Amino acid sequence: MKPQDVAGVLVGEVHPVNVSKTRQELSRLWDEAIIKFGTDRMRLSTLNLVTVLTGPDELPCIGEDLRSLCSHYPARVFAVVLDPEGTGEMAGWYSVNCNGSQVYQEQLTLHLPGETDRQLPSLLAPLYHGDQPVFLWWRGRPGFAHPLWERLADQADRIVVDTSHGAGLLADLNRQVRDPYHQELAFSDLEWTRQARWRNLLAGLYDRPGASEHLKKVSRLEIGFVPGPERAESAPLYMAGWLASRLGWSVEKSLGEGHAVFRSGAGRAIEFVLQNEEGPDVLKNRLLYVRLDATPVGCCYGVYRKPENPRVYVSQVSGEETVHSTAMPSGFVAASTLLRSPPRSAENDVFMPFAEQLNLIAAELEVFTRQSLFERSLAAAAEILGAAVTR
Amino acid sequence: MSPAILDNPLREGLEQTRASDPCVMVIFGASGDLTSRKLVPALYELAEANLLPANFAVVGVSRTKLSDEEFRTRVTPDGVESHTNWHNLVKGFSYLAGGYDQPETYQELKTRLEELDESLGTGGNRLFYLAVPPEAFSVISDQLGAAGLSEPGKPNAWVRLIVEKPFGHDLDSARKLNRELQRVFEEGQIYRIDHYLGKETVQNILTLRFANGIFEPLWNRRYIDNVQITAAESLGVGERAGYYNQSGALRDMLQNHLMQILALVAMECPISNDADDIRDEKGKVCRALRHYTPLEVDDNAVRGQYGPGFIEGQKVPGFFEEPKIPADSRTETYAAARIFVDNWRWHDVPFFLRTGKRLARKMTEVALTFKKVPHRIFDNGSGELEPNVLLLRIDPDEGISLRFGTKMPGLTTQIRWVNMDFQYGTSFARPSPLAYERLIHDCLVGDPTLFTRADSIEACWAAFDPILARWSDPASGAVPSYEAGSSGPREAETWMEDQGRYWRKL
Repeated sequence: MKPQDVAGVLVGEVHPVNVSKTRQELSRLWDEAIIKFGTDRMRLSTLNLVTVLTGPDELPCIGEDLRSLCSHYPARVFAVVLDPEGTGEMAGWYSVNCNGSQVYQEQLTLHLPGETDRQLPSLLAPLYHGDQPVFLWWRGRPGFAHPLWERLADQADRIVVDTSHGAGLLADLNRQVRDPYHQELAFSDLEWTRQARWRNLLAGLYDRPGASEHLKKVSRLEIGFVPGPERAESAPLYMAGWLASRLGWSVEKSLGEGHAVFRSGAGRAIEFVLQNEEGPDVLKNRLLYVRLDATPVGCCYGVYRKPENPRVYVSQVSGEETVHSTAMPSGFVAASTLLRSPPRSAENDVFMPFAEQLNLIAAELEVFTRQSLFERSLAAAAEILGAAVTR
Repeated sequence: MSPAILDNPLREGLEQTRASDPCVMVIFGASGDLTSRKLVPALYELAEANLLPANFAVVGVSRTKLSDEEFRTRVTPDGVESHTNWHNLVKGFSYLAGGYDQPETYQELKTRLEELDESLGTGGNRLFYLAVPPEAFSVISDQLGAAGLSEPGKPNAWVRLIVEKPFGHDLDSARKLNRELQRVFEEGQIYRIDHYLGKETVQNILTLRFANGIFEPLWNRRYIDNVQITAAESLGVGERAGYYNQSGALRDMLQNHLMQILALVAMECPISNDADDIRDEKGKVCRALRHYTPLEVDDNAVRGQYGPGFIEGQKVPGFFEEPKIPADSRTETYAAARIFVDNWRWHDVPFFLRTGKRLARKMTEVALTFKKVPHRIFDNGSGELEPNVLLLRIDPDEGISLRFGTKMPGLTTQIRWVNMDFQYGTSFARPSPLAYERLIHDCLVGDPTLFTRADSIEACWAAFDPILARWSDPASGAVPSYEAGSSGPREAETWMEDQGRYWRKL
C-alpha cells in the first residue's frame, strides 16, 4: 500500500508516519501545522473514531464519508486497513485538516499487513484524545470472531455496527450486546438508524385521539422487503422486533418460511408475514412496506414506498365506519370520525432521500449512551429469528 | 403533549421530535409579507422533517381578494414547486377573504373549519396565527370569541393563538392588550412569539449555563464585571420606515428581543425544564429590573439617529433621507441602556444593552466580561492585564468563545490573549432549524417554553416606560446623530468611557 492508495481517504496534506514513533511524529506534525496555519488556531475535538476495513479495496467505500464526517465532527480518526494477505511492516499516514478558521481534524490511516494487527491496540491506546469518547465503527466485516474485535471494543465507549452487511450479523450483534462483559459499552446499528423515519411515520399514525386503541387489536403484521445479495435479514426483523417490544408481544413461533406468530399480553395471536419481494438494486436490503391490520375493527395502518418513486413514503390509515362504531369502546368517537373520512384524508406522502451511510454514521456520532429502545428491539428481533440470548 | 400521544406506546424512545396532532392553522394576515417570507417556509421545513401531521390544513384569512390557487402561488417558497412534500402540504391550503372586524368572516371561517374537521379529521384542533398589525389583535380575538372559535368545541381538542410582536407600545397598552386577549383566551392558550427565542444559540444559553458545572459558579456579581448584549444591524429602516418611526430602536429591539436574552443570561436555575418553571424564573428577572426616574434616564441610556454614510463601501442615506420619515422625527435608530437586575446574584452588575440601525456590521452577541485579577504578578509591558471574556455569538458565526491569557513561548513571561473558540455551525453536522420553524412546531405540540408570558412583558415595559417617557420629552434635548457604518453615536462611547468601560468592537 502506498501513499497514493490512501490519498482518496485522507483529508488535507498526507504525511507518512514512522509507526514505531507515532506519538512523537504526531506531536511534530501538529507543531508544523500550528506554524503553517497560525498560532491562534484552536484544535476542537469531540470524539475519537476508529474504523476497521478488511482490505485496501474498501478504502474508497468510506473515504468520502470520512472526509465529510471530518468536516463536521472535530475528531481524531483512525482508519485501520487490515490486509491479511499482505506482507511487510505496518505503515501509517497522517493528515490534518483545517475547517473554516478554527477547527482541525486529524486522521491516522494505518495499513496492517499479515499479522501486524496484533500491535494495533497498543498503538492506538496512547493516541486517543483522553477526554473524548472512543467510537469504534465495526462495520460488520470482519465479523465479531476476529481477534481485534474484543481488544478494540475494550478501548471503546461506543460501538457502531452495520448488520446489513451480512446474514447472521443481527444475531451476533445481539450476543455481543447481551454479553455481560460489554455492559459498559453502548452499541448501535446503522440498519436500526436507517429505519428511524419508518418508525416515526408508523408511530405518527397512532397519534390520533383514540388510535392507540387499535394497537391493542392488531392481528396481523406484514412487512415487505427486498433481500440483497448478502441475505441480511436485519431490516424487517428490526421493524418487527421494535413493534413486538413496544406492544408487549412475545414470540410464539419463530420465523420460518416467512412466517412467525406473536402472542399479545392479552393472549391474542398476531400473525407476522415477511414478504420477500423483487426490487431494483437501489432497494436491495430495504423495506418496501409495513402494514398492521386490526382485523376485529376492520382497519389497517401502514407505511409503504410509492412504486413510481421509492423515495416517497406513504403513511395510510383506512377502515370502515360501520365496523368501528360497533367495535369501539365508549369515548372512541374521534377515531371513528377520522376513519369515516375519505381515504386520501388519512394519507400522507413524505419525500425522504435514502439514508446514506454518511448521514447514518453522523447520527450515531451524536449518541453517547446505551439506547434501551434499540437494545430491546434487537433482543426481540433475535427472538423472532430464534436466536434469543438469555443473560 | 396531548393525551392521545401520551397513550401511543410506539412513541416512547423515538429519537425524532414528534409531529403535532392533526389540526388546522388559520393565518390572519395571510396575504402579507410575514406569511410568505417566514411562516410558510417554516411549515415547509416542518413538512420536510416529517413533523406535520398527515391531517394538517392551512386557512389563510386576509382582506385581499384571492382565490385558493392565487394564495398558494403567492406563498410558494422559491425552488420547491416540484417537491413532493410541498405538493402534499399546499394541497391543504385554502383562502378566505374578509374583513377582520366583520362577523360574517368568522361565520364563514367557522363553517370552513367544521368542514375540514369532517373531511380531514382535524379533530377540532386550531391554531390561530395573528400575522397582522397590532391594532387588529383585539379585533380578531374578540370576533373569534364571539363566533365561538376561541374554545375547543370537541373533547381533547385544543385552540391556541399566536400573537406577533409588538405586544403594546408601553406598559399601559401592553396591559390593555393582555386584558383584551385574556378576555377571550386563557393565558395558557396565548403564545406571544419572539423569534429571537427560536434561535438555536439563544436556547443554547440555558444549556451552557445549566448543563455545565464550570460556568454557573462564576455567573454572578462576584466574578462578572459587566454584561454587554448587542444586536447591531447594518440595514436602515427601509420599507419599515412608517412603522419604525412610530416604534424606534428601544421598542423594536431592546425592550423585547434583548430583554429576553438578558432574562436567559440572568435567570436562576429553574427547578425543571418545564415551560412554566423556566418562564417563572425569567419573570423574576423582569420583575427585578431597576426602574429609573425620568432624571436618572440620562445617566443610564443613550440614543442616536443615523446620518448618511457608507456600509461595505456603498453610500447609504441617513434616517431623514428615508421615505416616510418626517423632518422633526425624534425616533431613535440607536439605543443603549444600562440595566440593573436588583437581586442577590446581580446586584450592581451593569447589563449594557445596545442596538442600532446602519451600524458597521450585522451581529448579535452576549459578552460576559469577568473582573480582572485582584493582584497582578505578571508584567505585561503595558501594565494592564485584560479581563477574561466569555462570548456567546448569536449571529453570525453562532458559537461560544472564551478569551484568556497564556504565556508566550520564550525565556521571559510574556502574556498573549487568545480565544478558545467553539463554532456551532462547523461542529455539528445537523443544521439548525429556522426560528419560526422551531416556534411554530412548539406551539403545535403545546410547548410554550419559548413564548413570552403576559407577566414578563408587563414587567419589562414597566422598566422601560421611564426611558420612553424621558426620550419623548423635548426637554431631554436633541437626539444625537451618528454616521451610517460607524459603531454608533460618539455620545455612547463617551458614556461608556465615563463609566471606566468600553463597548466591544462591532
